[in-house]
Amino acid sequence: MDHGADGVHMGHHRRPDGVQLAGEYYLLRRRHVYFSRGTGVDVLRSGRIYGIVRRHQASLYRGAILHRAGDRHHCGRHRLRGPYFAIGTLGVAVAAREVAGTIDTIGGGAGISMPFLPLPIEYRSAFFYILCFALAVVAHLVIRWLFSTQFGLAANAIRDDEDKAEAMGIPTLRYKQVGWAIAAFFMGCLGAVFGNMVGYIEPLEVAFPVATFGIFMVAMSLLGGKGTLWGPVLGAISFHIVKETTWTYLLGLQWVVLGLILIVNIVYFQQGIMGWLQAKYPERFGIVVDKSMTAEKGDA
Amino acid sequence: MAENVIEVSNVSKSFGGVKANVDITMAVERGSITGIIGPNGCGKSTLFNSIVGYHPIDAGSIKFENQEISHLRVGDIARLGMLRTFQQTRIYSKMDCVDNMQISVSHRPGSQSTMFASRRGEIRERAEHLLEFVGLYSKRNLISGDLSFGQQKLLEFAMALMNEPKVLLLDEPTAGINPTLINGLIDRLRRANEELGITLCVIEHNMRVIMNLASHIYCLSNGKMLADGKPEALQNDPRVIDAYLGGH
Repeated sequence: MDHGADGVHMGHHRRPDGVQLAGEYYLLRRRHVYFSRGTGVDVLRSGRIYGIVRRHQASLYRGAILHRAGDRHHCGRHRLRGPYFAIGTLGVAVAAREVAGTIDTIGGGAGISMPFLPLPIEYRSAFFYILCFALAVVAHLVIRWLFSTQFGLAANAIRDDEDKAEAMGIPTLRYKQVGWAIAAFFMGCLGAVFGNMVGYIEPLEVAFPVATFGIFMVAMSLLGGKGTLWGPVLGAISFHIVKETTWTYLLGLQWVVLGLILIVNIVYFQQGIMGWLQAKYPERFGIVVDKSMTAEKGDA
Repeated sequence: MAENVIEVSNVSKSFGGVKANVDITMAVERGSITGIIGPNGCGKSTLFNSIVGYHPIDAGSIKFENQEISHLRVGDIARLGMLRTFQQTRIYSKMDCVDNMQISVSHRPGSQSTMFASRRGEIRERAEHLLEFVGLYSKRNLISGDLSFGQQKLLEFAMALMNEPKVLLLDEPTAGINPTLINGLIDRLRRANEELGITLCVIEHNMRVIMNLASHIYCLSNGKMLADGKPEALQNDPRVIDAYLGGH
């Protein structure tokens, strides 16, 4: 019973840490930098925004709404762990899409057309590029600060062993809620920008593009290295180099190539670029390795 | 007479048809070192899991500082000041030893302000002091998953101390580690009890360890409380001898 009891009640789970929350939004594409988390409610809610100043206000407002939503309405999902948490998140996104499709004030299922940016057309791309890039930098800095605090340690502890973290009294549910809420805040901000950039949004095709952004962000995060701050950035750049190359030279087979990259990544390269670099050159990342430990290990 | 910090009364727990604990009653005095022994599969770890809230009990009552805790979750009980360590050592294996220690600070105040606190100097200082206490100071910057099993046991113990618990439940703290480390661990357990005032409740199979360490011992067999008393009395109890040496 001794061993069995632990086995039954203390199953070991691993999950991406909070850095991945930050990582999942990087999407570099040509000259534009988008944030995307793929829930899409934020995108839908971003409608009817006029003028540059109003855009900023609305972004923060939507971010705040999603912040509260993340904090208050996802307790049930946050009790899920590992792959079930991911499935639960997808379920919430699908449910949100259906709900969004019934809200007339945001256009319902038909979606809404966004007003044009009151700037000369030649500045349009540059404006959204700068806005998205600035938001990416701000989010990156916030997450960087976040992970220099106790929050960062707690997120990593939850990643390594959530049951242990709970047994040590860490309020894991609250940490996950706050992590989600912070991620949702930035998603909301970006959603407002994205909606205006695209010019037209509706729940089925634009707000929840699972086959594109939904997969891309996961691929970027995995390729760059989950659980690291710079991994998703590197992943986004690498992913888009590969993507643009295949889209250009292997048109027609681009999705096959993308699928292959994902499979190779998941099966043979789980640690991602940053993980590989950390393992290869630990001292450059401040990781101390005791060479004698290899000999000592197992010699308990 | 010292007050009881843990009171377990008539606790029963079954898993399907398996009766893991049957009508268990025991108490742990504040400031004491209490031992729990019994053959493999007798329900010791199930009792631990029941006490710290890993599963609901079928019947009975569990009190911590006179507060009923049998309905509370693991985290809630930990934040009351009762922690446990695991038979199979559990640490945050991808973090270094100091980070393992720093995140193990008590969350009893539980305010959101501590969530975003920087990794303050005094926390790190205490972490390093406790790593020195368990003999891991020289390994403090190593990734904890790279430590040997015995060292991971010591780290888990230090993490528990970092939390400043009132009661610490240790599930076979000496299992799988060599005699040299065992002697050091016994010494540190005693010091934690005497110097830091932490009440200890220890499951242990190593009779030399538990007889030297505990002031009161409970013996379980087949899910039931077989006997309890002072170590010297229990050592000569024919029921205990029979449970360990006969029939199993």
